[in-house]
Amino acid sequence: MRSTKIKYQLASGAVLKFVSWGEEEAGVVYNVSSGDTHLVTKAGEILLQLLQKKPQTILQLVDEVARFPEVFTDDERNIETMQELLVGLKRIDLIEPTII
Amino acid sequence: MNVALESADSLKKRLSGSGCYLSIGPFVVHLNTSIPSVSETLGLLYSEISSDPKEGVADFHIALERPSNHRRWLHPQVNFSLDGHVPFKPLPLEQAFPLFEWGLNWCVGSYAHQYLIVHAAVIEKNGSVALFPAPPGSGKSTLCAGLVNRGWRLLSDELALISPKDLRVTPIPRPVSLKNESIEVMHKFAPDAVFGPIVHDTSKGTVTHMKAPDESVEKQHILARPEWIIFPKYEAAAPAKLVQRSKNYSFMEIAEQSFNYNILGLRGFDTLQRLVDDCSCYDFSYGRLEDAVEVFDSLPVSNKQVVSS
Repeated sequence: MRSTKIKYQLASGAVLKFVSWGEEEAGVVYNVSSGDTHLVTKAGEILLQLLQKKPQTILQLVDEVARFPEVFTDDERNIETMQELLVGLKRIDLIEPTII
Repeated sequence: MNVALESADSLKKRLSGSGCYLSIGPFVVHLNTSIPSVSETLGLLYSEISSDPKEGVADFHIALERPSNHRRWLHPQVNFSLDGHVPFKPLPLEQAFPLFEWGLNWCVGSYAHQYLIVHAAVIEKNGSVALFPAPPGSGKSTLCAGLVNRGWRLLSDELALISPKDLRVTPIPRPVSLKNESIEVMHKFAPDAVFGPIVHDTSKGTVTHMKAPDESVEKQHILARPEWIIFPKYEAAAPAKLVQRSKNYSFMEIAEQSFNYNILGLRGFDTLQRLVDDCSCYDFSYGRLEDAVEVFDSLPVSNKQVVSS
């Protein structure tokens, strides 16, 4: 069973800078703390920017991304899609789960 | 005094004695060697550079010498050393001059962190500058060699030295490295160009070097700011095609081709961001140099270029 107490946040110490050009589907994210640079999808970029403001649960993120219908279609605003995106961002050490 | 003004014997004596101080782009290289093929090829390919900057002051103290072991007689080899340290395994003696070139690339890439250094060729015409970042085997050097034989100025064949401050590229016009099929292509395309000896069986295959055009060396103090970032790709018999490219992907590719992007940290990220912001990015595929020259001569030019010393 999925715990509703798990929130996601930026990886400890991570300070992110974003840059992207035009209407492209991917943007560049630079982690000032680790020195790593990543190419992330627009959806990933939005999640990172949301988590940069405050830690959030998957359900909260599903609600939040409704503000970006051009990136998250109705079909994509669900827990499974969100989880898949978060796993990808965690794999590249940009975010981490935290128990509140 | 330029290398060209010195006799071959005198250059050989100086190189094997106290060494020569060579002004190569923004660097002073102190070279010491008693290997005849190095002094001969240096005299041929670096003839326009100054060889007597202030004695004793150098960015890199390089020596190319034969190791003193039994191989000295059976399979002669050459060692590259920087400040007395030997960073690489020895290579066959025939590869002494290519080893100097590769070793000098390594020195600049490892130590000149005042620049963002990208593995890229850089050329300029009428104040407009094109940067060709590309992995080995893409046809970057062939394209660069072709264009500098048709009126473009060579700023660099291998290392783009980009200022984090103002994005200007500091020229380092050294011999252009050519490999395998491109050697014959260039001999046909530019029969009047000066080529060094052909060296077989290196880790890169058969290699040679083409002398940088004299005018490019004379203008090595003139810095220039890139306007186009072009990713070249040689495709046999393909028509020349220039296609606009994603800036986001271009950023990642240039970071990948940089020697010190990671070392510069946030400064590297900021520099690259401004560079990509400032330039138009393209993919360029070509199968014939003649077609490539035509495309490059009709690249759209803007008036924002800064070209100055």
